[in-house]
Amino acid sequence: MIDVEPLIISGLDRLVPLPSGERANWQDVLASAGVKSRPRVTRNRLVFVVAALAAAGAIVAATPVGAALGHGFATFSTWLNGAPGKPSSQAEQRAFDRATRSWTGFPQGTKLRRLVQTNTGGATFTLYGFRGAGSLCLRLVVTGNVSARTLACPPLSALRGSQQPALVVGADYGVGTTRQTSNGPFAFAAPKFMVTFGVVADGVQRVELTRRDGTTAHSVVNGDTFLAVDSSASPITHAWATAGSRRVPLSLTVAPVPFGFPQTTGPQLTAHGPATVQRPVHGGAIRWLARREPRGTAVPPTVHHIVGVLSDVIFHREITPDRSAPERMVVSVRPAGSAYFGGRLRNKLQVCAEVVGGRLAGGGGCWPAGRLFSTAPFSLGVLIQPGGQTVTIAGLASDDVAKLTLYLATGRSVRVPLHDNGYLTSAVKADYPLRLVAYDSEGRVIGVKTLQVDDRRGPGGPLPVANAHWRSVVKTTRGEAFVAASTTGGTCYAIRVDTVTSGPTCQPPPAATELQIGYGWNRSNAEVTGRAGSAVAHVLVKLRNGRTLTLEPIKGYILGALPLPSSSTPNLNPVRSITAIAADGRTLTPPTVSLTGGSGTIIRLTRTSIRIGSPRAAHTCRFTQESPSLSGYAPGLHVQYICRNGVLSLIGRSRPNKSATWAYRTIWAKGPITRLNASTITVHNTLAPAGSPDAFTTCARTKTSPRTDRYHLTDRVQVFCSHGNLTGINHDSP
Amino acid sequence: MRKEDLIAELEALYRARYRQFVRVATAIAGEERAHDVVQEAFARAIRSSSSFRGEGTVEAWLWQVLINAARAERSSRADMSPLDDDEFLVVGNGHPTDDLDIRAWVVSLPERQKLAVFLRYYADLDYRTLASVLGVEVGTVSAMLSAAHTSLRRSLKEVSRD
Repeated sequence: MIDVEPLIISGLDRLVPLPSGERANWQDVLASAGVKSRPRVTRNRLVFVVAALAAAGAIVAATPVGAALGHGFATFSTWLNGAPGKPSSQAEQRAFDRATRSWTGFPQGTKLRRLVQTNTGGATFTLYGFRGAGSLCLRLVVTGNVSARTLACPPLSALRGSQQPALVVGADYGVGTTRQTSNGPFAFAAPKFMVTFGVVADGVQRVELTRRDGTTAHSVVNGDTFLAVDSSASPITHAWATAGSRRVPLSLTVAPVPFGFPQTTGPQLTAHGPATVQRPVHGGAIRWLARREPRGTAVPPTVHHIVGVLSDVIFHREITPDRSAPERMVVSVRPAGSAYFGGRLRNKLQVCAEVVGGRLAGGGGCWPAGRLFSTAPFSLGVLIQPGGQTVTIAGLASDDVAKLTLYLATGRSVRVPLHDNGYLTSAVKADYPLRLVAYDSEGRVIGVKTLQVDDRRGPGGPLPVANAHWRSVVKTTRGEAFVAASTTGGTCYAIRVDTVTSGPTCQPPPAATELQIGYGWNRSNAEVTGRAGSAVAHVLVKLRNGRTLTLEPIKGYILGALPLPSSSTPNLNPVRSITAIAADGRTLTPPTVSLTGGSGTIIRLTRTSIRIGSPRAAHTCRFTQESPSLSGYAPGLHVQYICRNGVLSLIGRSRPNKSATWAYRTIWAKGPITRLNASTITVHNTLAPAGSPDAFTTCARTKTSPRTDRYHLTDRVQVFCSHGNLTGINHDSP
Repeated sequence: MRKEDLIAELEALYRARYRQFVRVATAIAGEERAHDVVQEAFARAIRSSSSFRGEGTVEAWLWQVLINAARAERSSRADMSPLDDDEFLVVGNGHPTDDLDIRAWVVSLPERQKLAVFLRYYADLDYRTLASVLGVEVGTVSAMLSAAHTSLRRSLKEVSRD
């Protein structure tokens, strides 16, 4: 008999996910029922009430503070309207005034407050704060045997109607000299101190932080702020705020592996705001930029060094997206050179937007001029502020855009300042996922982009879970394989051979005859690591020097450290081919790849799949790590797409009966060939960050594709693919 | 029970289980109206507190009020709720997805079985509370859910036979 309960539970979960509780409002219920609500307790009175109840041994959870913590009615009145902490010294205030004098538009006379201070390990950690231009800013100053200064500025709007009793502003901010440490297969250099800080709501008495190793770090709470300084190498994974007997989990964004993609622990929210484009627009433009009109002001020489204004810049201007903020944006048009696709870009210009000045560390990015608005009528840049909990969202919008709105996962929305086609706003990771929505002059939705905490990935790519525990599954004299749980319920693995770690990889397990192989080499060794399907008994590695070596999978994992002859040329790929062999000696070929695709309208887009077509005839493809990012895509958009073995591998916007405008019309990939058959070629793209959706590039081989006779599995090549088809290939000899 | 005590108990329920109430309301009346349905159900419960006779738990009584409010909301609209819409019966590429299976199954259930499923899996109600909400014996709840499971099991077998 089939146990259908798990199917029911998971199926019903997908149909109606547990909603967030941000709209809960008991006062509204009472008002609707015609019941007079109880008067609100002021902050001063509250302190008295809490103290009185504590003295009487009563349960603090019965107080409004306890209720607030439990159900998201926390208030940050001191941060929003009062004066947290105490005044800073005259010298500190003067230094602050000097530093902010150049911040155009920043309110002069803004008072710096001293919030909390703690001493540990020969260093003094002081947190200052100020409020202005729509933000609250926390400035961490470290003096003593180590020194550091950093500033993080979440928007004040994050505190209004906040569901959480505390906001983590900076987490695991590293201070001091480093030492080697490890987390499972990952060795990295850890700072001497890890500092976590933030602001607390009225009535919060304690903030606790849990490290990955299970120990707890307590913070100092003072001046409506908390500050925790930790010398443990184990990173913070969870945070809680406590008032009385109530303990509430806080949203915290942490990386599951050192330098890995971040994930959020604490309450998990869902995106709000319109998800469907009502009027698709194509070929957006910024006319003033195209005509080289002198909008804004000339770029001041003082920021030339920041934005890298070089003699070859064709045109640049400094604009002010938000007149009430001290930040500016430098917009420039430059030659693309070889920045994209090895210089094979048809339109060889790029448009750059850089945020400069004010409270932010600054930063920005460039887009090929012809692709600035390829997926939506606005380009999107996300700058992560120090501490990793606050982001600055900035970019350029086409002339089609009349209004931009940022929808927070809490259900609130923020009008995004937009001027001279530049926009700039900020948000906290606790309010993720965010949805940036563009409207035309008639109020129709013309563009949607949803930002997940891990905004560099497509919506379906599995990752190691946030507090991943890496368990050793295979150990040899030279290496070790580790596994951890993935965000989609599967398994991720990473393999260390000698001192080199490959992974994490969260791909589905290989098919029976398949190899998932990666390799690297140095002067003395070639490391061949990965997984083998259940039918693979041996892996035959042929080297260029004529030698053949055999590896045997251990529990399905391959941990190969192959000695290379001393005469080996260091830069030359020593591996000629890697072949899977069955127990009976047969050479195993990888399973056939099925390519499907077509064009149609996106009907449904979830975190794990996309459905394209018409309501009566549609096709669903899954996402994996190999799928392209779907940022900018939304139900209602017409697209062309290719799915490989049921997994989305290529997608581009199109119009009915027109060819697609691929997000990546021409793909340039560089690295070893991991699969080569009659219909496709797959390259492990070393140009893409490890584990990114672009890490494996697959191109279809068509009649017009170049011949591939002289290329073999594992050869290092450069490939160029247009519209998903192989258009160029050559050996890549460093 | 004094009205003040009942309101306090309702408030505690609201604060503890708001999300589950919204979830069930979403399944019956649709996402757009779900929050309003919950607000109205609690307001209605407070207004008609004298109708609570103390024969069952406050929670079971409240669920009854909420279900009635959600049904009234649904019947006031021409369109149907997401889980009653049959558009999802269209299959993609010849193979129904898991979502389609579950949706089709929910739609196929008789109204009371459907309610039992929502309350069991969306609200996590135990059989005793479920029985109280639906006004039936505990054994009947068990039989209703068992019948629902059987119908899903049968539909799965049918698909696999194809």
